[in-house]
Amino acid sequence: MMRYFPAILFFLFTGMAHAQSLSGIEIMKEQELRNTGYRDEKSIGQMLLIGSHGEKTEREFEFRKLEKSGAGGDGEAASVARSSRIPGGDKSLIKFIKPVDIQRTGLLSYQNKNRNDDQWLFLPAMGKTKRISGAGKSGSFVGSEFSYEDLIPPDIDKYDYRFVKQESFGGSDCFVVESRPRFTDSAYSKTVSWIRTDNYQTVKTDFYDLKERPLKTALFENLTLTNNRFWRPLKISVKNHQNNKQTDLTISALSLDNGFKGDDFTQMALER
Amino acid sequence: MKGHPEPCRRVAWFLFALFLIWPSVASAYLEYKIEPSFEHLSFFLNRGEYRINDQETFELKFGFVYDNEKNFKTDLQPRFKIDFRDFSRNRYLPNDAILKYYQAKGEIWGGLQTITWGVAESFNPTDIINRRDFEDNYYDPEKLGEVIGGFKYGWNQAGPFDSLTLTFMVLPFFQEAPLPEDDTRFPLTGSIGGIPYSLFEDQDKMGTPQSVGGAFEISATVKNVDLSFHFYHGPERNPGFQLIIDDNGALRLQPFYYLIDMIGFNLEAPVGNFVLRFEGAGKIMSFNDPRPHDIPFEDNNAVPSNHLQLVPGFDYTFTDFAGKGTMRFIFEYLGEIDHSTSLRDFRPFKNDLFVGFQYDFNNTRSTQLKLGVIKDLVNQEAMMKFEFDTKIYRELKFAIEGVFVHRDSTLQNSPISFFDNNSYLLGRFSYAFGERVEVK
Repeated sequence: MMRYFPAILFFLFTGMAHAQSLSGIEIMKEQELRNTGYRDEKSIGQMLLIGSHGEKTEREFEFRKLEKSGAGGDGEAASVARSSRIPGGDKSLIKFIKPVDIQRTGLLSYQNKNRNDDQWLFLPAMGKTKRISGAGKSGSFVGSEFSYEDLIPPDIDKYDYRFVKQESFGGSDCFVVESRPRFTDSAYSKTVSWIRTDNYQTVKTDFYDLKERPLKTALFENLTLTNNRFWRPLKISVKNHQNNKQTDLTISALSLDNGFKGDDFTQMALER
Repeated sequence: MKGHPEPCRRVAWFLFALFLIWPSVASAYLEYKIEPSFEHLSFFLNRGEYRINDQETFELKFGFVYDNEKNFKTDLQPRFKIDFRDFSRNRYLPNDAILKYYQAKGEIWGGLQTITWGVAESFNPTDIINRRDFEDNYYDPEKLGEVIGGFKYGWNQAGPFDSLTLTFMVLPFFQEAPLPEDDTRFPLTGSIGGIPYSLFEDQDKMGTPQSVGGAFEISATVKNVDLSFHFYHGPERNPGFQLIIDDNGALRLQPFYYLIDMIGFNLEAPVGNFVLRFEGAGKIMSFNDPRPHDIPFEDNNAVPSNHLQLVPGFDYTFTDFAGKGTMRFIFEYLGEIDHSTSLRDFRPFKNDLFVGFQYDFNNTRSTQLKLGVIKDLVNQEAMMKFEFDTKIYRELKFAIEGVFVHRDSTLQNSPISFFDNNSYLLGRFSYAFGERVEVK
């Protein structure tokens, strides 16, 4: 054991030095790289809204996501080039199953590289699909502590990152990275995320409002390895510190690489 | 029953029967929904008659959706509506009963359906596919289902267009719009030169070859702008009116139907914190026989003149408003090129301004408040509508709604001032429950 001790020390200190030398953007790029290649995702989830006085409301939804083209998305090989007019971005579609009054209400989101993201909300009672404006994206999604902005997969090119520190959270060693949006209509001045050093998955994020006051905290729990490669949290809890409300999101069924294509993420699919 | 001829009943029963046998040949999920509601509506105007002063409505709505999650779907929404004070308002037929075959790129469907065209919040001139239930309400009449066969095909991306979609629809059967009778709240009665007139109940329908309607829509997103163009050819689903003398020599108002070609567009685009909207419809009646009816009191025929209706506007959203709520402010202009006020062009919203607010409390009770005002820019006519609804216990909802009308007594041919002041307040309780069941 003593023969290996110096080696252990060497690798330990080298590893620590390596981690400290990682910038915020490098950590985020590594996270993106590890989360790339799943092609598409489908999940069924339950959303529990807890009011400031403890009152509860349950919702159930189906969530679908298509990974951006060039990363194995659209059901095409990663080498197939997408139109150069609009660089590819992720697409997602949420449809509510319960309760009855919001059944079939859906949200379609397009992540765009060089301009604001697009979101459409379908209201079945009115038979209409509505556009969500820039300011509207910072509003609450169906009364939950998730904003419309939270439901668009973040594009790392739209943020500035700063490595803050390294510390333990939830029994795991984590990088702490601060993110500041470069776009003007974000609901947040910054977010601070705890990213595990072993698998580069986010386990906690603190959100700050436009006056840089603590707004809410999201915990990503029950990290599960799917398809032997991709980590997914099966529970996300968001606690709002300013209004004392909370939203718990639990995933009950999850599958990757379902064969989705771009045609499954259109306004026609949203309204079907 | 008035306004619901035999083809609608046959289609509805066919789909219901198909819905019953479908589980035996397919497996996927079944969604059902049941929503009973009770509402009491009180008019401020005292007509001196118990029966028509107020409305007390019990409604039972059902929703059944069967989807094999591959390519077939049925959507049936039966309903029963009973007004304990006015049985002419009772309704039993569904407005939506559809059978659909779909793939990722397209779908084919048939059945009873209500179609919604238009992006404006206050008034949708392009929304002409369905006839309206004027017997029930004339401020905001309900759309009634039409028998429609349709085909839709889309491209995720086609050149500069995202979500390019083409929709074709055929409306093979023509149905008359329900109109209020003389002893109801909104009688179509009045006088001309001191001579009283009332509604002539026989509606002058289109001949069989002319009763088929067709519609086409093309929609796409270009950069961040949602665009759609609409075309409709066929009988206008809601009647025009002509004055006639009946067999007894009385002056009567006869509803009649005419052919219309509608070319419309809708544009919606988020710009920063705004969402810009623009809706327009050009309506052409040139293909009608110029003298299809005897019109003793009009210079020309009673077919409306060609006209263009435009509704530009925008909305702006404030978040974290008054305690973490979301406030949406809406501003729209409702205009028409033709401002004439003759009987042949008896239409509202020719030169009006709409200002609206929508406040979402963002709470677990889905509480929402809406307020909107339409004001004529030339005369004193105005309408205000407010809605407040919230869950009070689980899925039990309570809603209050009100419409307040300010008429201009100097106007005779305005749809707003033609009727009595039918301002009202409404309270409604409703409870919705349902389930999605996996069917193996």
